[in-house]
This record gives sequence, C-alpha cells and structure tokens, in this order.
Amino acid sequence: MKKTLFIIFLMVTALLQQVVAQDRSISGRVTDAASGQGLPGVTVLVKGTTVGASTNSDGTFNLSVPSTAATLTFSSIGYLSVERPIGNSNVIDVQLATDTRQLEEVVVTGLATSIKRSNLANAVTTISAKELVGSTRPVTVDAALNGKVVGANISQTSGAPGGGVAIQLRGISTLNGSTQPLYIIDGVYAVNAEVGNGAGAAAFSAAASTVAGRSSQDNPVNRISDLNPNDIESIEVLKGSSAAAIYGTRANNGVIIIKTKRGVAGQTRVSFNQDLGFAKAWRLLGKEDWTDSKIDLVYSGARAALEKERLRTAQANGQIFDYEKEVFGNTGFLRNSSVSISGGSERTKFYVAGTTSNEEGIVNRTGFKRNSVRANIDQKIGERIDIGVTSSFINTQNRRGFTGNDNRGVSLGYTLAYLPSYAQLQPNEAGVFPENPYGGDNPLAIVERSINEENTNRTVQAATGVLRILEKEGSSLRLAVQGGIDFSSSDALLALPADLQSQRNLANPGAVRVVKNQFFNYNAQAFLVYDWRIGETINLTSQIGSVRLGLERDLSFSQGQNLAPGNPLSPNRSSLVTQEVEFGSEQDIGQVAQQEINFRDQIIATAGVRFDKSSRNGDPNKYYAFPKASLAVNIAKFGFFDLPAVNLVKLRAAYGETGAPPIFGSTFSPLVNISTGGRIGFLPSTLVGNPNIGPERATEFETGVDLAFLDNRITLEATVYNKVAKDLINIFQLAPSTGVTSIRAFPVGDLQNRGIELSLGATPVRTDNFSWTSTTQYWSNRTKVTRQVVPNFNTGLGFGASFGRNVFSLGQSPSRWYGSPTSATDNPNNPSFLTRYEEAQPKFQMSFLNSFTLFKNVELSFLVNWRKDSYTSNLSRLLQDEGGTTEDWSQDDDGDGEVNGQQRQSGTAREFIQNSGFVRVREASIYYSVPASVRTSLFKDYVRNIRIGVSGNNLLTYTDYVGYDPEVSNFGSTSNGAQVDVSSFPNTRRVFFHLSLDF
Amino acid sequence: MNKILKFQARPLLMAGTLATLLSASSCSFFEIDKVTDPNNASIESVATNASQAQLNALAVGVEASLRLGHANNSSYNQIVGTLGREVTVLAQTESRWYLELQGRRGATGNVSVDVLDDAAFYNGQYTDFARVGRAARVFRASAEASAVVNAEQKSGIAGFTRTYEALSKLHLLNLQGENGIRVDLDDIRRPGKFVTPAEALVNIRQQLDQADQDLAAAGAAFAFPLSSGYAGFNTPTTFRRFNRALAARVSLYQADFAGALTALNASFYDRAGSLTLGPKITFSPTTASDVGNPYFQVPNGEPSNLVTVPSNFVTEAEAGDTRLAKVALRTTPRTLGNITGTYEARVFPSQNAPLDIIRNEELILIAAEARVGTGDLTGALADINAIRTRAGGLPALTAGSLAGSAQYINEILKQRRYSLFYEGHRWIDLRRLNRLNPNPAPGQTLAFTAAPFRLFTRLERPAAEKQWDIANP
Repeated sequence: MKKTLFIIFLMVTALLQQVVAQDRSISGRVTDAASGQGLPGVTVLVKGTTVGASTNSDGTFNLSVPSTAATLTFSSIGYLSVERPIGNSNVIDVQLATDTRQLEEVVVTGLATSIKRSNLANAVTTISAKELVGSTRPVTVDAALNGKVVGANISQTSGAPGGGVAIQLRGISTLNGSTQPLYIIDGVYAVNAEVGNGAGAAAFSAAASTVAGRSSQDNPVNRISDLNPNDIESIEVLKGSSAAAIYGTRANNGVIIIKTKRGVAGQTRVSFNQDLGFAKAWRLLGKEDWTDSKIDLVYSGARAALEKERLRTAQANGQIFDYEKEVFGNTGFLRNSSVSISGGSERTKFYVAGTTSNEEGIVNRTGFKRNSVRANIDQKIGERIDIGVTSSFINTQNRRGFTGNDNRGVSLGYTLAYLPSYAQLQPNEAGVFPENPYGGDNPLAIVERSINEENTNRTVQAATGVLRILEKEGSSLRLAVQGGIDFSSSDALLALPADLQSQRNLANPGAVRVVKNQFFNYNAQAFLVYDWRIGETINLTSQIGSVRLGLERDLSFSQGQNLAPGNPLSPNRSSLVTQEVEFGSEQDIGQVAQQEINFRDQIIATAGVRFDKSSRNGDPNKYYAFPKASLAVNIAKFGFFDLPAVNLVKLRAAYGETGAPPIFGSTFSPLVNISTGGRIGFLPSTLVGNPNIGPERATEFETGVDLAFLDNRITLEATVYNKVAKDLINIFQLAPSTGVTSIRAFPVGDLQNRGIELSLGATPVRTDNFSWTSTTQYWSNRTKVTRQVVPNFNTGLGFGASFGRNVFSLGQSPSRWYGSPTSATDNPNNPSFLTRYEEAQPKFQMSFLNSFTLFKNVELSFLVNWRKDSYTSNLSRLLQDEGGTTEDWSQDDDGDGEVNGQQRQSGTAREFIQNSGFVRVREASIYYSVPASVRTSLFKDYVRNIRIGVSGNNLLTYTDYVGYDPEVSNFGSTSNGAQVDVSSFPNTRRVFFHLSLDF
Repeated sequence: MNKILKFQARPLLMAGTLATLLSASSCSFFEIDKVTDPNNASIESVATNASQAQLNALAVGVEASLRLGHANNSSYNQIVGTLGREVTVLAQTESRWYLELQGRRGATGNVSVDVLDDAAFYNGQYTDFARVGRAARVFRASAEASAVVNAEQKSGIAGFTRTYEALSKLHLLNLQGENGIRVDLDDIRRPGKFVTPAEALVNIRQQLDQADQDLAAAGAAFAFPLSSGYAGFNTPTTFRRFNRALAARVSLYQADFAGALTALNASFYDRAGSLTLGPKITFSPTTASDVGNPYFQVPNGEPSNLVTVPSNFVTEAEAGDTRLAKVALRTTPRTLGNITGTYEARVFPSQNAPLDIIRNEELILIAAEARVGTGDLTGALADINAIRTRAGGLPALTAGSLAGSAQYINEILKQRRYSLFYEGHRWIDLRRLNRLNPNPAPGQTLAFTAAPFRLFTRLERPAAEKQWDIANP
C-alpha cells in the first residue's frame, strides 16, 4: 500500500499545472428571505471551482474570482441554494429561502469527501442542530435523536439521570458484542461503550447474582452521554451497509456522524443560553391499600394475625404511606447554561463554548452533571493549507441509585413492589431506619445511604489538515489528513454501608467498590482526493486513503466487603478484598479507494472498496474487502419534461457491504483463575476461542425514489432495503455436558432484514405571517434467520420461558418471544416446544413533526412518535402482584372470584410478554423572539437577539403497557433489541423554560 | 513563470515530505501486532510440555472446580433440597424458588407447572458440574503430554482426574434422573449421545474402577498438591479409599449391594470412626479466587434468599434426636407466597465450614442398606444403631423392633433424612427407591405436594443439550 501511495504522489507531480490567476473582486450581502436578517456562514462559490468564501456574521462577503468566472452559487444548510450570473456587476446581493428538505446540504460519502443531498444515492438522515435540540433539551445526544430518524428504533432504556439509550438502525445486524452504531465525532471514532460499574454484581444489587465484576444489569450509561448536544451542528445517520460501507468493519450497525459547531468569519458573536426546568415521573404505578380480608388472601396463621395488627396500628396512627411516591414522586430540578463565542477572519475562525448542565433525578440523591468546554479552530495557512483543530474536555458526574433487577433487596422499584402501605419504614429521631419486614432492605435507607456515583473525565481531540496540491479549473488534487483521540477515564464509587439491613444479614456485611474504567481510542487517516473533469459534462472525484484505528481498554475495580464501622467507605477498611483488572487492545487498518462520476448532475455513480484487517480477527493481517456501488438518476434534470413545479425526481439504488470483527478475545481459550487451599489454580473457561474467525458481513441493497415539488414545498423520500447479515458471528453453543458451553465466535448463519422507510415533507402554508412545515415519517423492519448452521440458541437476555425468551431459529426472527406453556403436541416445531409469542420489534413506527411560525417571532413545534405493537417481557407487575400492592390487585376483572393480583401470578408467559407500543408526544415547544423594536429600546444594539420559550419532553404518552415506561430495559441495549423490564427507573416528563441571548 | 515555478515547488516538497513520512513509518502504520490474551493464561500453554507449576495449578483447578455447582445462584444442595422438600428457599426476589420449583405457578389459584424451564437460572449448576469433568480431562491430557512427570506420577494424575470425572457425571446424573447424561465427552465438538441412567451408572462405576487401578500404580505420593480438605486422603493409597467410597455410593444407586460392600471394605468406612471423616471442599472467603461456604446463613437473619426448613422435619423426628440442631426455630418466620418458613437451616455454622464430598456417616448408612440388600439384617442393624446412637443420640433398636427388610429400609431412609440433611441426598434417595411421593414411608411426609404443588423427578434437560441433539441427529 505504501507503494501505491508513493506512485500517486509521483502522478501528482506530473499533473501539476498552472493555476489560473485571480483578478476580480465581488462583494455583496446574503439575507434570509423571510426575516431579512443577514445570514452568516453562507458558502459562496464560483460555480465549477473550489474558489469561494463564506459570509461573515452580518451576511456580507468579499471574494476574488477568476476573470473567467461566470456564475456564483450561494448555499447554506437549511436554505435553498441560489445561482447568480456574475455579469459585469461587482456587487451581488442575494436572498435565501429556507429549505425544509435541505436538498442542497452536503452529505458524507467517502471518508474525505461529501456530496450534495440531491445527488445522493442513499437515504441518509441528517439532523440539524435545530431539529436536534431546537425544540427541547433531551439530556443526551442519542435521546435527542429519538423519533427523528426514519429507520431507527431508539429506546430510552432508563429514566435514570444521564439516560441510557439503545439505537438499532435497520434491524439486527450483529448479535454479539457492541450492537450500537459507530459514532464519529468530528472524525474521531468515539467511545460509546456501555460499561457497567458493578452495581448489579453479587456484592451490590446482585441482579447478576453470579457475577463478581461488571454485568449487563449494572444500569450503566452509554458514554455518548458525555457529549453536549448543544455543541452539535449536525448529525448524519448512515443507517445501512450501502451508505456505511466506506467505514468497513466497524459499521455493521450503522454510523452516526456528528459534526460540532465551527466558527464563522466576521464580527464575533456571543450567544448565551439558559434553560431551567423540572422532571417528574410521567407515570407512577400506584398502590392499593390493605384490609383484613386482603391480608387473609396473602398471609395465613400467626403471620396473618401479625399483619392485621400492623395494619390496625398504622391506621389508628394515621400512618399509611405511599412509598412509591416518596421514592419516585419527587421533582427533579434541571438546569443548562451555555455560552458560545464564535467568529474570526477569512483565515482564522473559531468557535469556543462552555456548558454546564445539572439535572437532578426524581429520586433523592440522584442526578447528572455535565461540564464541558470546547474550542474548534480553523486556520488557513497560505493558499494551500487548511488546518482545523477540534478540542473538547468533558466532565460528567452520574448518581444513578440502585434500580432494576435485584437479588439483594436494594433495588428501589423491586423493593417498593412488595411494600404494603401500612409498613413503617420512616427513620426515627436518631435517623435510624427500621427494618423492612417485606424485603431485603428499607428503600428509604437505600435512597439515603447507598452510593452509586460515577465521575468521568473525557477529552476528544481532533486535527484535520488539507493540502491543496493542485488547483485549477478542470482538476484539483488535495491531500486530506485527519487524526484524533478520545480518552475517557471514569471513576465510580459504589457502597452499601455495613449497617444497612441488606448487609447486616450477610456473612460479610458492607460492600464498597472503587471502579476505574479507561478507554483510549485513536485514529489516523490520510486521503488523496482528485477532482477532475472529462469535457464539460463529466465530473469525477477519485480518492484513495488509509485509516488506522486503535482502542486500548483498562477496566479495573477494587472491592471490599466486611467493612469496618463508619467512614470513609473504602476497600482499605475491609477484610474481604476482591479486585479485577481487565485489559483490552484492538487495532484495525483500512485501505480505501472510491470513484465518483457525475454527469451533469443527472447521473451520479459511485463505486468504492474498503479493505480492512483487525487484530480481533483470527488472522490479524488478512485483509477483507467491503465493496460498494451506487447510482442516482435525477430525472427532473434531463429536461424530458420542463415542469417548473417539479424540483426533483430522483431514482436511486445502492449496494454496499460492511463488517464487524469478532469481539475482543474471540480467539482466546483462557484458563481462568481459581484457588483452593490457598493455592492458585487454572480452570478451563467454559468458552473456547476460534483461531480461524473472520469478520461477519452485512450486505445491503437499497433503492428508492426522492421527489420534490413546488419549490420543495412537498418532498417525498421513499426507500426499501434488503440487508442480509452473512456469517453472523455469535457464540456457537455446544453441548454443555462437555464443560464447554460455547465457542466464543462462530459464523452461525445469515439474518435478513427487510424494511421500508418513507418520509413526507410538506410546507402547507408559507406566508409572511404564518408558515407551517410538517414532516411525517414511517418505517418498519422485518427480521428473519435465513440460514442456520448451528443448533438453536437463545438470543437476548430474557429471564426464562416463564417470562419469555428469544431464540435464534431458522425462519424466525431472533427477537421474537417464546415462552410457557410448553407443549410437545401444540408446539411440536418450536424450540423446547415453547409457545410462540409476538415480535419484540415494532410492526412499524411513525413520527409526525410539525412546526409553525407566526408573525415571524413565534415558533411552535411538536413531535409525536408512534411505536406500533412492539413487545416487551415485563416483570414489573408480577412483583407488585406478588407483593399485593398492584393498584387493581383486589379487583376481579373477569369475575371468576379470584382477584386480579392472584390470578395474574399463575399466568403463563402471555401475562408477561406485553405490548409496549405507544403514542408519545416526544417533544413540544413554543418560542418567542422579542421583536427588534422592543429589543433595541431596551438594550440598544448590544443585544442582537432575544428568544424565550417553553418546551417539554414526553409530555403525553398513550400506551397499554403497565410498567413505568414502555421503552425501558433492565439490560440496557440488548443485542437483539428485545427488552426486559424489571422495575426500572421510571422515565420522566421534562419541562423547560428557555432564554437565549445573542450579542 | 517565476510564480508558476514557485507554486509547483511548494506542494511538491510537501507531498514528497509527507510521502516520505508515511513510508518511513509504514511498517508500524500498516502492520497489526498479534494481540495475545492480556488477562488470562491460555489453554494452549498447558497443552504440551506443561511445567510442574502449571500441572500443580491444573490440579488445584480440578479440586476447586467441584465447589462451582454449590457456589452459584442455583446451588446444588438448595435445588436438590427443594425438589426433595428438605428445604424451602424463600427468596424475596425470586418466586420461582418456592413456586415453580415446587410445581406451582402463582402463589394462589390452582395452576401447576407441567414442565420445568430448560433455560432458567435453576439449571446453572449443570454446567458447573460439567466443568469439573472438563478440568479433569484437561489436566490429564496436559500431564500425558508433559515430560516433567514420570509414568507413576501420570498414573496418579489419571486416577485423581478420573475420580473427579466420575464425580462430575454423578452430580449431573443426580440432577437429570431419567433423562440420563452424556458419558463420552472427550471431544467437545463431538460428544456422545445421552445414555440411560443405568448405563450412566455403569460408566461412572467403570471410570471409578479404572481410577482405582491407576491409583494402585501411582507410587507413594502424588505429583501435585491437594488442599487440607484432603487431609488423610492425599496419597494414592489413601485417595483410593475415597475413590472406593464413591464406588460404594454408585453401587448402592445401582442396587448392586454386594458390590457396594466390596467397595466399602476398601474405603474408609468405619462404624466406630468419626462420622465426619472424609474428603471435603474447603472454603475461604478472604482468599482471592476462593469463596465462602455458600450454604452458611446468619442465624435469624433476613437475607434476600432465606433457606427455611419445612416443619415436618422437626415434627416427624424422634424425640431427642440431636440432629435437629441442624435446623432452628426462627425468631421471625418469613412468609412468601403463602408459605411460612418457621425453621431455618443451620447445617453450616460459618463461611469457613467445609462441605463433605462423602463422609463416614453416609458410608455407614450405605453399609446398612447394602446389608439389607444382601440379607445381612444383623449387620444392617449394627450400622443403623451406630448412626442412631452416635449421630442422633437415640437409643439403639433391637432386632425385634424392625420386622423384615422393608422396615429396615424405612428406618434407613429416616436415618438418611436426618444424618444427611441438606447435603443433597433426600430427593435422590426417594427417587431411586421409587418413593418420591407425599408419603414415602410411615411417619415420613413431604411438604408442599398437594395440588397445585407437584413433585418433579428430574430437572429438565438444558435447552442447549436438546438443541445440540436436534442439530446433530
């Protein structure tokens, strides 16, 4: 490869030619057609060249153009592009109209190039800053995407502060390892691990009661939550392999490309934003109070007498409590403050921002804080070199408490489910909490005294450089280099003091754990891009390049049990110390070549290939090829029909392949540590490695049509895709009698995802004083196993047949639920003769986004998200039924004489596999911009813009689901997207008040 | 022209510089180093030419592995104890312990569980016991391919590992009952078919016999260390006694009474010896990679998982039976799912209390039963009375008080119930004697058997095993 690069460089030298002299100056101003205000950052280009400039803060520009230049193009994200002949004038003023469908925006197609949306052959969703956080303020970036990306199933898996979001793009493409998309922030391959801290480990909630270290039941945040949504300029979502192929072996689950804001030349602009708000659980499950006869249904004998006595005493003293409300019923205060400063000259541009967020949870002593600073600098050096630096530092603090599954009695929701309203758990005057006779611990004591906090320091640094080696009218060659690092270091402290009820009863009371999780990602790439032309009609872009990625992981903890009394809570002060260190190291190298051909913007064809190798494969130096090809035909530009009402008729088709190497360690057959009698020993692991494993591969063909009419006031984007994950890697489950449960990585078969994505945009009204834009999206996906070379195996993380589990089985979806009853006669062909239930994936999703502008200064918008018939294994009501606390426990819905709360406990898996579909008003907002006349009378010209607003998240939800939230998952993001709900942290409704000032 | 030249020269220089830089560093930029496991040793590292230290570590692993099936969330004695109604695990956060495993769905109503789950948490100990066999096979193969041990020492390792393999299979068979087990497990990719329980017992006994011969040829000492749990059994000669004790248990399960007596004679069976004599699993919670005794619970505590004991254990005991000290009346009973646990298990007094693999008390009871089977009622009575007087503090029975072998078996069953309480025997004893029913013997009952509760004779064969056989017919 190095030879190839070198040869290209030699070619470059041969191609170097004279650059046309620049000898004419043109200036002007670009304004918003609606408001008349100057538009900063508009790109002004001499058509057909790379000669250009961008407008400064008041919309003015100044440009030297070649004498041969005939036309200028003006383009800006969010606006319709305009072309103007230069003629003889030296001043050109332009008005730009807003573009709801943004056909002119550029979209990434290679690692170093981009393409206009109107020429794109894939359905790439782009989310602008306005769409992302312009309405309300979801706490994390991924939460802000919810409901906005056609083809994405996004779930907020935890209502805990700091969130927890699972994203599945176009169905299931990976069953093993990370199933989340690849996040690229300003070119940096970002850490988005969902790394537990051990909150679910045996010493703490024991949700994963056999696990000493980290588990999927730690209720972790994903690290993308570190990123400040307000810093983001735009997000592109490459959903399938055909669009993401250029990212090769890390792109099987799609790619989410995040660009942060950058400076604009001109007067320095200062923006200040202040949001204040509150969060409340949008639903509490409620309780049912007790009577003697109810006690007799649950208890008998002496215990029944005791409970009746307790009930009588509580009633006599007026001490009936709503513990759920006490724990989950609080209001969390939310605050975001941010300042950004941007500006610069033609040669130097900067964007500097600082943000602090503080969100209290609805549970006392929980919360999320994020402080971040960012500096993005762009500098031109001479005529040929552009460099850019992106630098950010983030500090986040999380206090999430203990929720979800549990085997110890510390998880709040779990314990509350069993707690009768007449229980007496309030602390006495000395602050001592009484024992909870109905569970492992007193939830009020857990809120007050348990510790689960995590502090993360993270820095994301990137540098880009472009060297324009050759620049002339018909061809240009540039070298684009990029490098970045993402380093995050998290320290967590978990503690359950020794005198807690749940600890007093243990052989080794008291547990404390100090966790350190460090990730270091680096990437470096170099690309040569050659733009050239054949004749006047064919534009070509050729590029080659190399990419190197690495990841170093260091996860460790030290845990102490049997704690000495009092503080500090430290493993040092314990008699039983457990520690673990886990290292990981991964390296990938990719070689890329891509060719684009553009015939008059009428036919655009692209072909490319990426060769990837990875240290995670059996052979770390074997390259695997991931090809791609696409074609877009802009029929409206052929001139067959010259209808001014038709702006775009594009047919497109694309094919591409992506991969995913096996997870780290797939080739290893470890001897794990075990000791007895004070001697250390080797124990063969239940897993064996596969030294021959290569990457799994997703192949995708997508095709669609894009239409735009009436100045883009009506647009339609329709896409169908067929994505086949081939040689899907999963563990190969062996006969466990052998003492080996599985081969760690094995190509187990193929999985097909077929789906449809529709996006209809409309601007039904566009007048001076009222405009209405509307986007309606529809998406659905079907998954099925099309080839299977291993025995059926369980996918997902269901708790067993009684509650529902998922199976990888030929012809079926790996996210379909199976469960009791078991019958060899009724279900002869089902795995383990289980009953087949519904699919966890929704039948379809729809979203409706509507925005209104009134009198130019009132903006109103709302986003409704409809998820139709998804199914979740929900154990939350079972816990309440067992505890006798369900709101309708004593009712008898079917009139058979047995109360609901008892009848439901005897249910089959049917009772637990529940429809988690919903219609949710995800975001709604109203903003008011203070009119210029009022503003100037108050602040003269010091303040350029004042905007106030109020917005909300999850304002309304309509669902038949009976848990805290239909989106939650006990296991965070699961490989197959099937979710299990066990008394999760309730999701919240959030309301914000906004103030923003521009100076 | 000047300008043009200048223009060309600069990019050329830069491109050249960059190309040089890239190619200079290309060896590392375009190469990936093979990553070896940074966290664990590999199985390949002991496959050939294992060192003495590595062999020692493998031996420790084999010995330690036997505790895995006890120290997990479906501990063997609790699962088997629940199925045999010796204990009731009142788990505040897992109702399947006291409902589903006792055959009931829901705490009220009249719905029974037809079939146990084949992939629930309570199958966990299956793999754990299978790992014992795997550890033994890996150790044996490693020793065979190592030059640091001589033929005699290899024979000792073979005897040790085969004994553990037999233990592994015996546990699996106990859990699976009539499902049977796989016995041919040498190739993880091509395991043998399931065999019937009778065939499995034959295989296990053959393996024990083979181990016995290996041990006979193993010289005076093992080439590897054993923990203090094997005090008195840590040479090939003394380890053989342990092996023969296991053979006696297997023979009894086979109803080969003569064989059981033969094996007992070569074991540490001693009617007058310490009842707790025998190899043990040791525990040390404060040692890294070791654990505490999972069956210990704090007296009168309120742990999430509380092991209670049905009251009939106490009410059906003979007055004055000192073995009732294995349970205690709780100060606060726990009620879950309408089941009240009045007594709690106190068999294991501390986290460091060892767990017997097989001990003299069981051997005496095996002897009693085997003697009944061979018609030696006098000898049987002597064994029974050894247990009654020495283990229970009860008066000895006279020959006249037991009429016929059936009453002898009833009495032995009763003594086994109290002597081996919460040690994983009751369910297996009742099943092999075909008495797994609400009234197994006069004066002995099983709790929680009335519908919708029901008794299970086996755990379900794990889903992974079923699916393997479907895919590999």
